[in-house]
Amino acid sequence: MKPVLLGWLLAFALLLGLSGNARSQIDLQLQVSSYEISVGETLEVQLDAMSADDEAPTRPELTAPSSFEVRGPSVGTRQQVSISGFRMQRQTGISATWQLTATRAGVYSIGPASVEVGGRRQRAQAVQIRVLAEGQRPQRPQRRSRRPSSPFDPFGTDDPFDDLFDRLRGGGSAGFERLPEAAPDLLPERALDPVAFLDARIDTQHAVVGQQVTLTIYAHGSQGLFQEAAGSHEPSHPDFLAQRLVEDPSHQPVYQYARDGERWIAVKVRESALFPLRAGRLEIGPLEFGFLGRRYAARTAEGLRRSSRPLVVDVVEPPADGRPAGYAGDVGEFRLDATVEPRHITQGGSIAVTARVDGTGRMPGALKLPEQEGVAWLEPTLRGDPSVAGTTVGGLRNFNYVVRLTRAGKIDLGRLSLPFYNPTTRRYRVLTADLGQVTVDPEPRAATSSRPAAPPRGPQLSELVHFRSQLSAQRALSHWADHAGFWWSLGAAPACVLFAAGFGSARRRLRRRWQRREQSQATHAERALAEARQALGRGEPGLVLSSAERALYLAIEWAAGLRARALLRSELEARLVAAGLDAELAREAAELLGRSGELRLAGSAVERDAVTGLLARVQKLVKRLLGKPQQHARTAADEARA
Amino acid sequence: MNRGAPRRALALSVGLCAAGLLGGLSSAAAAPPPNVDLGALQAALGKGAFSEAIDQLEQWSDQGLVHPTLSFDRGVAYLGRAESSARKPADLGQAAAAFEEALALDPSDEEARVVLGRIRETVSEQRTKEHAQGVVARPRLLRALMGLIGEEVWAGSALLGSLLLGIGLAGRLFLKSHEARLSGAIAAVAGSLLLLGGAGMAAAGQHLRRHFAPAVVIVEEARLLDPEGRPVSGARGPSALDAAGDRVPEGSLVYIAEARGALVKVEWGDGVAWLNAAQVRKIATLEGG
Repeated sequence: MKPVLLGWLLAFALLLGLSGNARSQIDLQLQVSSYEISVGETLEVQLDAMSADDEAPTRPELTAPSSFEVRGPSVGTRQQVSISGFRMQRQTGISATWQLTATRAGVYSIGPASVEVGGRRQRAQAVQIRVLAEGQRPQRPQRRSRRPSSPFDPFGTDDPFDDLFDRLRGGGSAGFERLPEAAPDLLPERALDPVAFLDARIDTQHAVVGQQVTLTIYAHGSQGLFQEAAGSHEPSHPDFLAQRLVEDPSHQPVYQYARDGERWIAVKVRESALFPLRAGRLEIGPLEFGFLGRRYAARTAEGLRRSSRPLVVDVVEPPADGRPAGYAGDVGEFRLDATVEPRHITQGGSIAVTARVDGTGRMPGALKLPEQEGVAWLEPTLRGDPSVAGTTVGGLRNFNYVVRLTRAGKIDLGRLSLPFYNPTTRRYRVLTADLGQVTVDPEPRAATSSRPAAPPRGPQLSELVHFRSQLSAQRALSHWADHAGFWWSLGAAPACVLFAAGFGSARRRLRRRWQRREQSQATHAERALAEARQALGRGEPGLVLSSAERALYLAIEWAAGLRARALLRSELEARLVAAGLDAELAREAAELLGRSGELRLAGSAVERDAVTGLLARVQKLVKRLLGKPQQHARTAADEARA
Repeated sequence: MNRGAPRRALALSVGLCAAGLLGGLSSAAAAPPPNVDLGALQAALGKGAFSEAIDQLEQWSDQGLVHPTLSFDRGVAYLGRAESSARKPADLGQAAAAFEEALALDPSDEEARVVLGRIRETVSEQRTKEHAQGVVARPRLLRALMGLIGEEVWAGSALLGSLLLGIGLAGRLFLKSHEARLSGAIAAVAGSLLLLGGAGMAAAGQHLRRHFAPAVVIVEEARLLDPEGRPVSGARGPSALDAAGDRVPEGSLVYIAEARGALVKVEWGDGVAWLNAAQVRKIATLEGG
């Protein structure tokens, strides 16, 4: 019985160990900047998620009570190497930071915070904090983790608030001079602040998508040594993938320099490799940093707050010219080689293909595979060894593929390839690694017969459609509404009908007016005068007189509305005056009509001069009469009444 | 008025309509096909090298080559890879985008229409298997109307209405008999309604076409965001029927109204939200002038 029990215990221990291993793949740690704050104060919550395998944690989330206003997270990538015994463990992950501002007093549970790893969500334990009423001063313990014992202290004193200047003044030490002098290119053109400032720089302002842009931020202080206060707001860079190059600013060298008689010190507090994810004018936000030191702001935990200026990078896509097919956005300079083992297998077996990429730039996430029927490439296992040379990110990445060969015979595996763009040479390159041939022996018959038949495969969608190898001329899709002619033609039919109706109406109106004009006394009078002149030219005095007389009658009818022919000569003048004509005109009209009658009675003996003179006078009078407004002819009833 | 006037007016108006249409349609000239070699791609697909064909077709697409056959072939290649051992997560969405593009370029391509419907059914089945809730996103009324009755039909009805209005006016204005004048008035009213309705819908169709670019979701699920890029939980139109309405499934057709940084504002169903621009693929079009 005992061996059985032992066996069970052993299996249980093994299971516990395995599950422990599985859990240990992801290391989650939730930290808060303080366990006790007042209402209105801001609490910084940081989640460090480190993964030992290649599945990087993503999508950090934090559960916070509704009594907090939550800002963030700002997410940065982290890498960590630890040595335990003879084993070196490399971890990659993220550090997500939230700012929580308390709005109500009480005891609250912050968290759990979680990240997604390999499609599953992993959670860190919640943290309990107390929020005091507004105005109450929380007892703020020193956070050793955020304030290392000797940050920025090149002389190894343990006092975090030690001030170099005080020591220099008091002891007359030459300690300040012992600090290395800042290189000229590290110094800004002018001091941006008399006490302390941040100087943010990028190594290039123009980059292509995927190219490394290095962001470096130096803290400059003129009041001696300083530390970084808790609650720094990291620069936001949502359009970049970031890799921190400076993990712990407290281990950075401290430089000194003199400017305008002041002694300054400068420390690199942040350095990150940023990889643009898209084209455009991409902004890098400011770093908000607290200078903590006796001469800066020792009494407040936030320190003397200063911000760096935001920066902008102009990012473009790599050029389209010469871009190789299958280019996946890799930028840098790489080398590629590959090995295949074994070269001889049985049908249905697998081989291992190991591709090794090394170089500078963000390591490629995938290689172009030589696909073919009967060769199934499984998802590769990626092993990376990132490195930083100076400020340039690079390293080595191994792609371990398991390739299943289901076809017998000599199979040429083809070539692995990696297209990338080199921003230094501004050219594309395609690296290839020839994989050679593999001999695949047919599966033994016994194995084939003993294997259960594969379940019938349903119809495949890809069998519905077939590749089209002929291109025909393509007519651009044209929409009626896109043409001005269409919109004009909509109004054409009604407009034409309305136009036709209007035209017809106008024509009728014109015709009526023309007819009226044709029948008017003025027209007839003019014509009679013209006939009189023609008759004068022909030497026909009788016709001249009769025409002139007719013209005069018509002109009188036009101007006075009287049919003068029906009146007695003796009463003509009086009737004309009564009809509203000037007395002078009336008298002349009566006189001319009388004179005309006399000349007509003279018959052929009439003198030409007399006729000509009469005609001239009639013309003048007719003109004057026609110059008056027309009076409508009176009817017989009117005449009778008159 | 003589009897020939209405006839002449109508003949003139019909002539003008026809001239306008012919002038409009004649500007859509046929473009020669792109000079590309599809034989090598067919051979690559034949031996199962789907990625090789996809890379080449994508490169042509990046170079601005737009042709329904190239889009269709891209869909075939993505679909082939999606059903092979070399499948990648976004293959079905990419295939849907390619067939949607082929259909947009050639609306008479029934094969593309059928396979596009089947791809969406497959995506829906896969989501159901993975216990994801189904999403029913009804298009907004205007787009539904434009989908049922195409823009050209609305434009044609506007033209018909214009002609009817012309005939009605002619009858009302030129004919003498009471019956004819009454018929003319009725025809003019009916024509006016048809003209206004058709022209309004044609203008609406033109607006949708010009201000909204069709795109297809090419990731398994695209999370709806607010303008600041934060996930939204409940901002969806009234026709998204369930809790999964805050995520757009792979292969769904959305309409991009605006792009801002890494985000695009899309119309999905009858709601409007923002998506990550990398999660959708814009459909190329070949609009004539």
